[in-house]
Amino acid sequence: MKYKLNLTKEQIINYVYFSLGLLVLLQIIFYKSGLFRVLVISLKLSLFIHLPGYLVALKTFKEEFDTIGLLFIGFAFGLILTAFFYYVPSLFGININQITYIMPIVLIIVGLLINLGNVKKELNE
Amino acid sequence: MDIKKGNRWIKYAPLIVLIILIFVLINPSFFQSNFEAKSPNSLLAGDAYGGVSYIYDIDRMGNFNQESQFILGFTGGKVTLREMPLFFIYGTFLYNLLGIEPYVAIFLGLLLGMILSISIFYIIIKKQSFTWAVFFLPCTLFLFTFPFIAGITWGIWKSYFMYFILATSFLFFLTRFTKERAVIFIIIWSSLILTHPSLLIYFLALFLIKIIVEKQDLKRNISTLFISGIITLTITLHYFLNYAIVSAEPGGTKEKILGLIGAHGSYHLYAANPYTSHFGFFWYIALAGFAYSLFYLFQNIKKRETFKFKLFSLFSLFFIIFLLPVVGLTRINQFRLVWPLYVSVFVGLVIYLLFKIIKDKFKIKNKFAIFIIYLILLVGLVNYLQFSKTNYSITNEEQWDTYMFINENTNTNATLLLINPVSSQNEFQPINRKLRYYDLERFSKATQTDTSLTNLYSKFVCDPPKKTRDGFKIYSNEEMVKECEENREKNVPPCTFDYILINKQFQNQEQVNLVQEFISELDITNYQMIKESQQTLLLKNNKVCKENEI
Repeated sequence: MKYKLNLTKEQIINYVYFSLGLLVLLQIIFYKSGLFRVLVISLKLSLFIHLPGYLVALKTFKEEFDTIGLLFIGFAFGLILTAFFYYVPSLFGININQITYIMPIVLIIVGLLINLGNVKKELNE
Repeated sequence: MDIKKGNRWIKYAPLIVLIILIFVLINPSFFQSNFEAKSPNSLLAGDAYGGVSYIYDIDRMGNFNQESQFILGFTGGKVTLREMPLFFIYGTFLYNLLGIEPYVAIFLGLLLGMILSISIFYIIIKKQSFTWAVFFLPCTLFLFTFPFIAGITWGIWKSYFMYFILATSFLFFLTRFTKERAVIFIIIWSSLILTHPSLLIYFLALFLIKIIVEKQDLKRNISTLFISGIITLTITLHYFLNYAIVSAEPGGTKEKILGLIGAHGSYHLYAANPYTSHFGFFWYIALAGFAYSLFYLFQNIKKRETFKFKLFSLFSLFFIIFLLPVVGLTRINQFRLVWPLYVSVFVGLVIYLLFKIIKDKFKIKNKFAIFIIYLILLVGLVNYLQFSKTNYSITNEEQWDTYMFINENTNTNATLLLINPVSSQNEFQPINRKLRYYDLERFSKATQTDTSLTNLYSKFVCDPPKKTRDGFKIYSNEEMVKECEENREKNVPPCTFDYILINKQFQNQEQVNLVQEFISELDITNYQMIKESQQTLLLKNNKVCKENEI
C-alpha cells in the first residue's frame, strides 16, 4: 500500500509565508535582541509550536476554513497542544525539561502521520 | 504568487495590520524591543511575581505535581497543588523552548493567546461576512488598555489562557463534530479544566446549545459530548481527586452550586473591575448590535441549524454572561477582562449593517470603502485610547538583580530578613529562600505606634491550601497549616537570619529613621555587606544566633 502526504503546495507555501512574516514582525519589534537571536526564536515558534498545530488544523478543519485561516487556527492549536502534551508526561514523574524538544518533534511526526493518505484508496475514489 | 492566491492573503490584510499595530502599541510596556529584559517589565502585583516564581520552581523541579516551596514558606512539606497547573506548564515550556526569561515568555505567550483569540473571532465572523469581520477588529484594541490589560500586568494569567482556550473551542461549537475533531475537542476541554475550571459551566452551556440547535445531528452530538466528557474526566481525574471532594466539605450545598455559576462571594478586581463605562460611546453601539442579534435569533428560530444562527447565539450567550455581575455573579468580573472581544463583535455588526444601508443607497465601491472605514476607525481608536508607554514594575532592575544574586550566591538553606518599606505586594517571591519580612504595612504601623521595627511582628509567606476553592475542598496537610498559622506573624530576632536585605527606596524620613533605628539595634560587627546598590543593601550575618538564646 502506498501512502503520500495530503498536503498541497499551496498549504506548504502559505506556511512558509506565515513563518517569514512572523520572522519579519519579530525582527522589527525585537530589533534590540539581534538578528540571530530573533531568527532562532522565530524558527522555534514556527517549527515547534506552529507546525504541529497547523498539521492538526489541516486534518480537522480543512473543509471548514481556508488555508490562511487554518494557519492562525493551527498556531492556536499548537500553543494548546504543546502545553497539554508537555504537562501529561510530568504526571508520570518525567522531568519536563528533558522533553522540551522531543515532545514537539513527536507532535510533528503525529501530525504528519495523520495527514498521510492512502494513494490507492484515493485513486479508487 | 498569482493574483488569485494573493487575494486570499488580502482578505487577511486587516487582521495582519491589527496584529502589527498591537505589537507596536504593547511593545513599550511589555518588551522594550528586547527579548533580553534584565528585570520584569510591567509586573504590577504580587500575583504576577508569584506566577514568575512558579515557573522558576517548575523548571527547578522538572514537574508541577506538588505545591511550590515558596508558597509553603520553604517548610519542606508536600501538599497538593493550590494552583491549576496548565498555564504555568505553558509558561515553563516557552521559557525552556525559547530561552528567554519567564516574565518575557509569559507576556509573549499571553499576547500570542490574545492575538490568536482575535484571529479566531475574525476567521469565524469572516465565514459569515468579510465586512463584519473587518469592522469587528478595531474595537479589540480596548483589550490592551486599562483596566482590561490589568489581567496581564496584575498576574491574572490563568484566566487569560482559559479565555484563549475557550475562544478556540468556539470552532467546535460552530462546526459539525467529526471523529478527528472530537479528539482535539477532548484535549481542548481537558486543557480548559486544567487551566481554570471556575467557569466551566459556561463552556458546558455552550455545547448544550449546540445539542439544541443542531437538531439533525442530535444523536451524534449527544454521544460525542458524552464520550468526550467521560474521557476528559478521566484525563483530569487526578485534578478532581485533589480538588473536588465536594461531599467532604461541611454544609453549604447552595453556596457550592452558586459558586459553579460564578456567585463567588464578593469577588472583584479592586481598581481594575471593568465596567460598561470603560467603552464610552461604543457600549451603546454594542447594545444596539446585541438587540439586533436577539431580534434575529427570535425571528429565525426555525433556521437554527444555519451557521449564522449559531454565530449569533454564541456571541449573544457570552454578551449575556458578561452582564451577570449585575445580578450578583461577581466571579464573572474576572471574565470581563476579555469583554472587548465580545463588545467588538456587536460594534462591528452595527457598523456593518449601517455600511450595508449606505452602500446600497449611494452605490459605493465595496472593498475600497471598507478599507477606508477600517483605517479611520483604527486611527481614531489609537488616538482615543490610552496605551501604557511605561514598563514600570514593582521591582526595579537593581532590586531584581539583588534577588537573583541571592538565589545564585547563597546557600539554599539560608534564611533572609527583608526590610521593604515600599510595598506589600509579595514581589520578593522569586527569591528562592526562606524569608520573613517587614513590609509597607509594618512600617506604617511602626510609625503610627512610634515603636521600632524589631518590636513588631515580621511576616512569613506560608499559605498551604486549606481553604475551599471554587466550591471545592482541597486536600492539605493539617499539621503544616497549623505550623504556618503559628509562624505567619511572629517576632523573630534579626540575629537569627543568615542575611538581611534592605530596600532603600524610602518614601519619607520616618521610614529612614525606622531603618536607622533597626540597624543601630543590630550588633553591626557581626555583619558584612556583600552587595550594595543605590536601591538595595544586602548584609551577611557572620554570627547567627539561635532563637532560644535571645
